[in-house]
Parts: sequence; C-alpha cells; structure tokens
Amino acid sequence: MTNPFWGNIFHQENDPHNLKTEDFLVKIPLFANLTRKEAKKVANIVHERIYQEGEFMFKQGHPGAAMFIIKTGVVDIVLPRDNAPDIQLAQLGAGSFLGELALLDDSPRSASAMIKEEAFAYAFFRTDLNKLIETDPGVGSKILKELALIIGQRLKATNVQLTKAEK
Amino acid sequence: MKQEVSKARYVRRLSIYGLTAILLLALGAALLIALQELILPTIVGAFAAYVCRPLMGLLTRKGLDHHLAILVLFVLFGGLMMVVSDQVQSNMPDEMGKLELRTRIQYKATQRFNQAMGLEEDPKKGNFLYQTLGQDLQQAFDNFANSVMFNPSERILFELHAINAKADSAKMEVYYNYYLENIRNDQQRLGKNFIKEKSQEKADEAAQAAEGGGESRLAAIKHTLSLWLTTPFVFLFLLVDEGQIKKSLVSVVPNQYFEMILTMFDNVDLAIGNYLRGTLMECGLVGLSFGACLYLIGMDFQIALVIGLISGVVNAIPFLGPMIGAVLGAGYALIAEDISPLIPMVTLDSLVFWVIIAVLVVHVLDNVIFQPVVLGSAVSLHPLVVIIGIMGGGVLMGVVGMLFAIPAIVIFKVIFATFFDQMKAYHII
Repeated sequence: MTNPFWGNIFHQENDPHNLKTEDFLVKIPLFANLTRKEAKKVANIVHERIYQEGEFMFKQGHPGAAMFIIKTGVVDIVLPRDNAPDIQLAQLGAGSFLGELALLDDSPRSASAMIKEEAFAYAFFRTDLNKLIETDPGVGSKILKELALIIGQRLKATNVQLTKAEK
Repeated sequence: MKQEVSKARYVRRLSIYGLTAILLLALGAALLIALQELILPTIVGAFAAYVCRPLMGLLTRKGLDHHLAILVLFVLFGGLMMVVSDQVQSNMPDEMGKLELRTRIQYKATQRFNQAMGLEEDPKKGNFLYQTLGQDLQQAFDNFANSVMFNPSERILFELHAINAKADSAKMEVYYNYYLENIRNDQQRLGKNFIKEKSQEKADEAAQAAEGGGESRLAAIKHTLSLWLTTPFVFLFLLVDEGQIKKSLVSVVPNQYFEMILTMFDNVDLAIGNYLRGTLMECGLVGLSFGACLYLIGMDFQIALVIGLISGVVNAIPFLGPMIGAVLGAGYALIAEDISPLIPMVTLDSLVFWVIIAVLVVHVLDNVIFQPVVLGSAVSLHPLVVIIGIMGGGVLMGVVGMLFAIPAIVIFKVIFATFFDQMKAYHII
C-alpha cells in the first residue's frame, strides 16, 4: 500500500491529472520530438476542455478545425447510422489523440467522437498550428514531420487491415 | 430521480450563468460610461497592437527573441507617437498664432474674392460673375468674413502683440497691415455695427483672459497626456499576450459550439486584420503622396507634412476624406505668403489650381494602384451603407465617429457573415 504522504509526492508524475500541460504533451507521439521549452509554446496555444459522459467531442460531417488529445477519460469513435445503432470503431483513453487530419484541412469529420467517461482534453487548432509554423518554423516543422509519420503509419495499418479483410 | 436532479442542476446553472452575464454586462456598461474618455486612447493602442502583430511575427521569424521583438515594436511605436505629437504641437498655433492666422485668412480671402469678382478693376460693377450672382455670393462672403473677424478684445490683444513683436519681425509688420486693411473692410461692411473699443480696462481684461487661457491650455494638455498614456500600455500588454485573452474568451463557450466559435474567431481575425492593415497602408500611402505633391508645388515641408498626415488619416472616411484633404490644401494655398516650387510653372496665384491637380493625381493613384494592390477585395460595402454609416458616425461621435464608422461596419459585417456561414457548416441552422 502506498504511503499517503510520500505517495502524493513521488507518484505525482505518473498521474496524468497532476501533469503540467507541456509535460503531458511531450508524452504524445505528435509532440514527442519537442523540447520542454518548445512544448510549452504548444501548451500556450492549446485549449482545455472538459466533456461530460454522452457529450460529443465532434460529429461526423462537421468541418474539422482541431485535433483533440485526451488527458483523462474515455472516448468512443462511432459511425452514426440512421434508424440503427451506431457502429463503434474504436475506444480511446488517456494519452490518445483523435481528429489529427483536421490539422491539415477542414474536410468533414469521417466519424463522431462521443464521450464514454467524463474526459479532460486539449484541443489543438489548425489555425494555431499554421501561426506556429509562421512564427516558429522549427517547432512547426517538428510537429508536421511527426504528423506525416503518424498518418503514414495509420495508412499502412489500414492497408494491412484491408488486405486481411479481402482474404 | 436522476433526471430530476440533472434538470434542477441545469436550471441552477442556467440561472447562475444568466445572472453573471447580466451583472458583467451592467458592470461593463457602467465602466464604459465612467471611463469614456479612455475609450479612444485604448482603441488606438489596441488597433496599433493588432496592426503590428504580423510585424512581430516577421521579427521573430528573422531570429529576434519574442521579448526583444516586443521591445523593438514598443520603442518604435512610442517614438512614432512622440514624433507625431511633437509635430502636431509644434504646428498647432497658440492664441497669438491663431489671431495671426485669422488675420491672414480674412485678408487673403477678401483679396481672392475681389479678384474673382473683378472688384479690383471696377469696385462698383465687378465682372460678369459678380453681376449675375453677386448678391448671393457677397452675402455668403460677408457671413464668412463676420465669422473670422476679431471682436474688440481680440483686436486689443492683436495690437498689443503687434507692438511687442513689431520691432523684431518684418513678417509682423505685414500682418499688421493686413489687420488694418481687415478693420477698414469690417467698418465698411458693418457700418454702425462696428464698434471700436480700445480702453485700457479692456486691454487688461483681455490680457488676463489670455493668461488664464494659457493656464487652462496647459491643464488641458496635461489632461490629454495623462489620458493618452494609456495607449502605449494597451499596445504593450496586447503584444505581450500570447493568446491568453482568446483562450479565456473561448473557455466560456459550451463544448457544442467550441470548434465553430474558434473557427469563426480566426476567420474574423483574418478578414478584419487584412482590412485594417490594408486601410492603414492605403491611408499612409495617400497621405505620403499628397504631402509629396504639396511639397513639389512649393509648400513648406512642415506644412506639406502636416496636411499630408491629416489627409491620410481622414482618407479613412470614404468620399468625405479626399474632400477634407482638398479643402485643407486649397485653404492653405489661399493664404500662403511665399512658395518655393520644384515645378517651374507653379506661381502663388495658381497654387490653388495646382493643389486641385495634386488632389486629382493622388485620387487616381489611390483608385488605380493603392486600393487594388493593398486592399484587394478585402471587404466590400455598398456605397449607400458607406454614406449612411458615415453620417450616423458623424451624428453619434463627430469626426471620430466618422473615422471609425466604416471599420466598425466592416467588423460587424464580417462577424455576422462568418457566424452564419459557420452555423450552416456545423449544421446548427
């Protein structure tokens, strides 16, 4: 059993609730290459949001403007259907991020994100990323490079799944 | 049971939010009324910071530290404000300067009127223009002359000033002759109504009034300075802000509308930023070219600079701005004593004509080059909206209202257009 006194001091870092925004962000693959100082710049421009169970983070068909990073809570990625139950595509927890394609353009969201358990999330907007690229190209290019890698990896994974499904 | 609790919570939340919003609005309105003198300096500071934001981006991109970039811009802005206020102050005539100016205006205007009406050659009949419209024009000119002529106290003040300054100024001698000529004309025009009071008592009274006027002028300058001290601070704090203001504003938006509102915020920011920066650049270019043209046709550098500066600022008022610039330039051309033109054919007599040519040249430059290149198709307004807006601004807040009417209408137009576009995009309406 953890000592309630020392435990509160030494276990703070592992609890995402207690992490500072910049310390939390560097644990996310998209910002993994940033130094703490650079991550602080990103921390200054992300928006903190608290979502209640059953709320939508975003809905399918709406223009995408921001990527969301879940700090705490659980989010379901669902495909809504008319007159039929929604299809659940994935379930994301703390440390996951979603809607990253919105950082590239404002094409409509391909699925909806519904809150399963009360969630604390950061929203990172495309316009803020664009401004960051202009004012601090070093930080901007690091983020874009990671974004390209992540999208590439997800494309590969999708291809593998598609091949499996075809077989 | 759970539903009842959540409904009660919802009602409670709604009433608390509503009450807070009403209280904040009331507080905001009370503050606006109480601190209304600070509104203009605050707007100027905020406007300058807003316009300078891309410049700060440019400086940081060039490798300058963020804080150093702010410092550079702050020093530049402070320096610019000091230069402008210094120029305005040094070119602002004092009490005696105003009297001298009125003497010159009255004398030169009478001279030009007589020339135009052919009254110099034939004082009774005049030329064709005088014979046709003479009565109406004479009436209008008399009204003008009555409005600029000195009252008895001002006559005493001017005479005292002339006695003190005559010894060391040849120019004053010329002005004193103008003054005597004006008095003769006033007497002729007004006949018995012209009363010449010249007692020592009156002179003392006038001198006292002038002294008092000086003190109140100093107090007014102090008051204005203390108010305008707000401007650099607003400028500095808005530049230092790295998005905290936007974040705190957006934090009160419900999750459902969060993405939509922020997108709207950014679109509005982009459109208004482009419009305001474009307008500022256009006004600057108009002011600069008008000032340069006036200098070319022989006006004193400082005068050309001040008229150019004022014309540039009022150019923000569509339709009326260029006219104000033309009136200012032509007005000065009418009372100019000597000119040193860089264009050989310009003479003192034809200066008004050349000012009109300068206005036309700048107008063509503005329409053909400045507006298309700098403003592009940023935001377009219907001319009727522009005219009604300017008149409304003028009725509400005078010249300041006229200056800010169009930017205010543009801001509202962009906000509403973007708001409805986003509401549609997010399937809210």
